[in-house]
Amino acid sequence: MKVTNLTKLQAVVEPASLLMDQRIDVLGHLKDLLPGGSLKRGSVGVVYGDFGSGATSMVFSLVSQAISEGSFVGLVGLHSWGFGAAADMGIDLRRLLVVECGSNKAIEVSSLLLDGFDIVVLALDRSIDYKSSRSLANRARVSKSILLYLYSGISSLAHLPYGADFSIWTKASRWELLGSAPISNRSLVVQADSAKWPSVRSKSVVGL
Amino acid sequence: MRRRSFGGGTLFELETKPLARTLVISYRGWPFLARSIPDDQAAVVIKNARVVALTGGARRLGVSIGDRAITLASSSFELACIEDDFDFDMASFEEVVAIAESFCPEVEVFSPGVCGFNVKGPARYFGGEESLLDKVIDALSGLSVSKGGAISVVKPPNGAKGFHLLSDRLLDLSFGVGLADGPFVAKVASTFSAVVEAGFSKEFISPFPIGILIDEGEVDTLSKVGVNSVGQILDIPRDLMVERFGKVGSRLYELARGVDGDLIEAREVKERHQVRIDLDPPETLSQAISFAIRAKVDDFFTALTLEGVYPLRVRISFETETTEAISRVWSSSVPISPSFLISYVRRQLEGWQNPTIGQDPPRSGIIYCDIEVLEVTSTPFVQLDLYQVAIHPQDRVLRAIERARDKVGDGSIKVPRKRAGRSPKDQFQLLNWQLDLFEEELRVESSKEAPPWPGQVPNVKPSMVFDPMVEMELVSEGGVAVGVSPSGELTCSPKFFSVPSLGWKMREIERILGPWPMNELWWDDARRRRLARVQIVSRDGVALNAVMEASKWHLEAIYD
Repeated sequence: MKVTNLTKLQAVVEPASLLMDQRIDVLGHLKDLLPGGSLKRGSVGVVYGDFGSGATSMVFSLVSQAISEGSFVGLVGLHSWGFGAAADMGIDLRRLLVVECGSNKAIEVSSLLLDGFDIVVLALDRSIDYKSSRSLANRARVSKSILLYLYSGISSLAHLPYGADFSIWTKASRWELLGSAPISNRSLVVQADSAKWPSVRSKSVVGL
Repeated sequence: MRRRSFGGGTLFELETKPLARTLVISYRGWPFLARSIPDDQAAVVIKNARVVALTGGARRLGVSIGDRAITLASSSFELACIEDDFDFDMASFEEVVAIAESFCPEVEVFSPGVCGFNVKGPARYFGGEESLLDKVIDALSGLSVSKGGAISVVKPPNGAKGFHLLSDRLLDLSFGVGLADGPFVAKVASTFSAVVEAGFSKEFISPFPIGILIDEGEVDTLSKVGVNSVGQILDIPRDLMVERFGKVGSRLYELARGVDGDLIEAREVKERHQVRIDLDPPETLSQAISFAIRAKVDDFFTALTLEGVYPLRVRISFETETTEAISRVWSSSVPISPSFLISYVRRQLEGWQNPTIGQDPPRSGIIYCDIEVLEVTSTPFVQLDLYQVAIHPQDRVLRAIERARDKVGDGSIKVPRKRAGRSPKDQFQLLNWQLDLFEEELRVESSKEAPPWPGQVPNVKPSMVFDPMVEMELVSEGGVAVGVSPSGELTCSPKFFSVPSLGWKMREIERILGPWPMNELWWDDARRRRLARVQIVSRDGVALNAVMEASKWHLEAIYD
């Protein structure tokens, strides 16, 4: 077949996409925390928890599988990202873009980045208003990208942003202390919720 | 390998049309000149944690191209490391290009530090090649960047014929000027400041080592079969070269004979590789123009991709309402993507509208933009998949970044890069995002990990790193502030900590590790730091790193 015919072929096959293209895989031990066991393209998720409870690590590990499969991830907002931890979780830093800006700009930038990036993480320090969250959710749905809100330092959310398909609350972390060795292992107590589930799921995640 | 013939016709007979006499100006070590670093100072340019350029001073220390950045610390304390910054280099090169443009309306920019132009018209206008060379050298000598100090003059290898050197005139200057048939030979000549007689390209370059034609990996292959100099390629028949090395072989055959240039021009497909984008109403802002032409550029590149060709060299021209015009040729060693082209457009317009020396900016809005592809390759170097057959795979991403950049400005869009250091803050740095950071090939890192830095924080890495650090307090059970003694021990055992800016009131400490004392940069009076680091785990499971410096505790990182 000549190369030019491929565009025609593309037009024919485009409406039908494979099931695997509508979802982005996550690491095995996180599957239980997500509706459908993976990140659904076009959906919105929330991760929140107090400082030190593991929310940032949770976000890194949610996107690490996607990055290793070639996705680009944008990190937007003011957050003290620790790239050492990201690299340790297998994130290829060449596929990360960091945009440092205040909340209002961050919301606008996220909506622009959703067009090209597979996953956009929006770090906020206060809850987002209904109108902005609604337009972000729509943008995510149209562009088939995933928007993850990260609320760090917040241990309870009055209401979830518009269109959130799932939320993950990192409640606490427990470090394994062995004599005078530096810390190395911990388990996270995580509570996950989704509109699709009858009740919340609590789980302990090791290795974050 | 750069240029390749269009359409893959490796077996057509070599075209021997005469090449245009070309003048090339090349600055040695542009990144250093642009930052006014003299050659005898030890400095290197780092890209992907490896040395890509170095000064004579650094060479004397035993540094060479390709060294790992982390091993440099052992060679000298005085070595200055510069992160590779293509945008900065290009922008600072603008003043040289502006001078070149005062001799010839169309200048080709090869890379930061190297540019050239066709001398046919200018030589006639300025009274011959010699007199043109004089004038160019005089004009360039006026630049402060050209007075980079004497660089030891290199001589072409023995046996090279058909040229004469200009070096006596350029003895104290940091640039070279070469004049020869075609840009390739002129570039080689410029490193020696030589003028190669018309028609003598073959005689001039045949004694050179083949390293000037191709990159390292291929040099190895060729030297294994006994080919070490350009001249030896001349002895190999063309079909053998093609049979053994494919397109690379065919290109080598051409270059070795000094044949170089616009092979595409000889074909009838030219009009398909050109696009004119009209701007109505006329536009002056470079940003608005790059937006306006974006869609057309995409279509144009898509059409090229469907033909299976990728541009390596493009000419961009503009014309204003008052018929002022500017055109410039841009070339690149990897295929130019639409995003790169747009950034060329922007740079060219900005250079034109904000001239550095005595030239006038355009007086009216721009009415059209011409984009003409001069050379192509059929090797994309970029991976295409089935779903994005027609577009550059990262283009969606690049476009989103460009839009975000227009919203927040250049300084806030960053990419993290690993670098050497002890503290979690030093181990990574955020570089300003620029196009070639994403375009860089994904090279496989060598499996051998870099050696650890003595004194670095062990084991798991924190996922939140504060820069700048946040003030905190550490007290004993009785409420006494904890300090670190000169011998590197805690003055009393800490029981509680608080971080006011995070809203943390006294939290109980379950375990504290350390302190690990550190004495950084002790040889440098201005930047020396003495600090002690501890790792704290609180009763409720929060782990963090704290640093004591100048009798104050700071929160450095949280294991979030």
